[in-house]
Amino acid sequence: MNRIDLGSPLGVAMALLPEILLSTWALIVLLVVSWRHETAQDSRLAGWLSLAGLLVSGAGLAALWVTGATPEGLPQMVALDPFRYGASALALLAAAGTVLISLGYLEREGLLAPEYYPLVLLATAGMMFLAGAEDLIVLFLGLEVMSVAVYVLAGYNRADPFSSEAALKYFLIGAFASGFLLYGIALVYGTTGTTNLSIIGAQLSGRPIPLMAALGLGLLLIGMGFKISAVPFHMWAPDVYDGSPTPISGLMATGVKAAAFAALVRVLLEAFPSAIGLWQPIVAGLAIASMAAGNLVALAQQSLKRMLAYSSIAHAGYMLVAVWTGTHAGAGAVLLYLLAYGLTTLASFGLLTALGRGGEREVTYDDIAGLASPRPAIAFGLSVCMLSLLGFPFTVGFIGKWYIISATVAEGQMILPVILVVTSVLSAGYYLPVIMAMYMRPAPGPDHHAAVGLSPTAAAAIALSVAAVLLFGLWPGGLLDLAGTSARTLTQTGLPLAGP
Amino acid sequence: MTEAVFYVFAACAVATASMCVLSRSAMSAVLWLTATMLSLAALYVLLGAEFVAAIQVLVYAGAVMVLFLFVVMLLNLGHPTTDMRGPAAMAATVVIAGLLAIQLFALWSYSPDRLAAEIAQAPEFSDPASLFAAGQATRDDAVARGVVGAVAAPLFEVYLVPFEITSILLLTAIVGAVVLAKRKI
Repeated sequence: MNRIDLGSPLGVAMALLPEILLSTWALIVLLVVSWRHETAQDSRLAGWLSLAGLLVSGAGLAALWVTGATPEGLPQMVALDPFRYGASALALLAAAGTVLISLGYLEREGLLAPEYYPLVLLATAGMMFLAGAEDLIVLFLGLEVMSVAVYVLAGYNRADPFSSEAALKYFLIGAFASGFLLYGIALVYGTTGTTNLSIIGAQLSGRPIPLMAALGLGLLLIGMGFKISAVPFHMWAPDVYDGSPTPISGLMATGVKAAAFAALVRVLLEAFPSAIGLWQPIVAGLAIASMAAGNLVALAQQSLKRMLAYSSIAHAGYMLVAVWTGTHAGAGAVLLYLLAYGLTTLASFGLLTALGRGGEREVTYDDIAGLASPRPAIAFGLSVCMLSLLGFPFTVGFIGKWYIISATVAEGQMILPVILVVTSVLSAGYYLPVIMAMYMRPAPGPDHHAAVGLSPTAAAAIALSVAAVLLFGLWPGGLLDLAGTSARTLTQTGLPLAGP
Repeated sequence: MTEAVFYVFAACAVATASMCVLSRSAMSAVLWLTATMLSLAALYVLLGAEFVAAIQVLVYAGAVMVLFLFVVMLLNLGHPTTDMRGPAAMAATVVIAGLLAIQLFALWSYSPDRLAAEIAQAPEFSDPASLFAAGQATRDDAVARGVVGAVAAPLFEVYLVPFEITSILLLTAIVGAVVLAKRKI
């Protein structure tokens, strides 16, 4: 057991080891690309360097996780618990997948500015700060670091007006959401006199929640709702996912969402456990609206990228069902589902980059018709992804949904699981046509799929993800244990305060 | 002496603010506003609020003004095509000027004694100690170490982590702005 004193500078440096390593590495990559930023080779160099940085940061994270680092003394700015490590690992995984998929994509699309990779690293550092925030100020700053980097990445393809549109929409809505979040933080601070999550929880426990804190909680929920793209705060998602470079859409759907959900769970469970009666109906409402609207609108989409955007809204709804429980089992279910959804979605967006060919934005159901015979591997990978998103047995998506349902039923709630299952069945209406188009429809022309292909790195990343989707789907035991133990430590932050 | 300094800077503030409103070019208006901010900073020093003065120079006269200048340059507001004329603009002018005049008359009736009496009666919302218990410590701190010390010590001790993350945030914003603004990367 490795106890870290967060009151000393050395302790803070130890506790933030993965984040410090990653930020420093981002600076190094920035220095390198300031000299070498001309050719495709330079871009590749930056990409591989960034991947190495993610590995180094992952090693730092593993050192904390394996030694079982726990905090000593009063709660401070950052959390030290397996829930943070799990969420940070998800962010690192998403970033590594994004970098691997981007290596070939950027060359093909002629986006050879290597600052792309340091921005991915900085966005990842922001995600890790967000996921590990034990204080509302760190939470806000982490969210901003992540968001600012992703705003820029969304508009990276400046030759494409849709990419600029995506960046502008994401930026405006994101700034709007940050405003809500800050108002919420200010009101909570005004009520409790602190921004630390555990101390807020201690201040608010054992008495009815004051009106100002309730308003603050509501505004926090709105701010987070935008980031996780829950209905009715979802309207930016389809256009932004659609216009952004495809690997960045993948990063938004996986890393950004994982970090925002981790922060949401931590805020609700650590700072507002006493107000559970207040936020449960709100979260339930958001969940039902997201599941229903996301799945229904996805049915009407022709473009695969927009379909995945609406499906990501629906999946946010599924995860909100797990958040609703307010229990450690629910938090574990969120982590597990984030992993399941992240693996699958990253692979799906990676496969979309292959189908997008050069300079092409929209990939419709018609474009993938008859893909199975000329490109069997890609068709198989995409089919596994669609089945996992659907929640088909023997894929990790099924395990994730099953875990959410069991956590919810354990709380005696039946309506939310029923809606979850019904809307999942509905989602077959847009996931299965992808598979049907690839396997059962003829190709429009003899050489229609000639340009479809993946770079070796992207192929490796996608193959690993698809393998993990199947592997964890067949043998989920270890994963379930890990998610369960990670979440159980969530509120055990060594809090000596009993009340105000 | 202090009084003379006050009048010099107060006159500067009023004069530069008038120039800001009256100048027809947006660019010179922004530059006049910078001068107003600097004069106000000097007034803050006279009030014993050195920290606010420093922040006034750094943030308002520095960062915010640079932002204004950028926006003015980006929008290219060289020659105003539409002036604020016509009945609607006139009506708005009269309403706003009337409100300001009413406020001025209300303030006219205040003597320093009456103001002091009203402040003594009102609950002290500006006092952190009236809001929560930790506020008392904040106030003692400010007395013991001066305003700068009371702000600096928590900033670099308790709030060290957020402070450092802010630098990462600024770096990200700069890199992003350069990437998006450069014509050829």
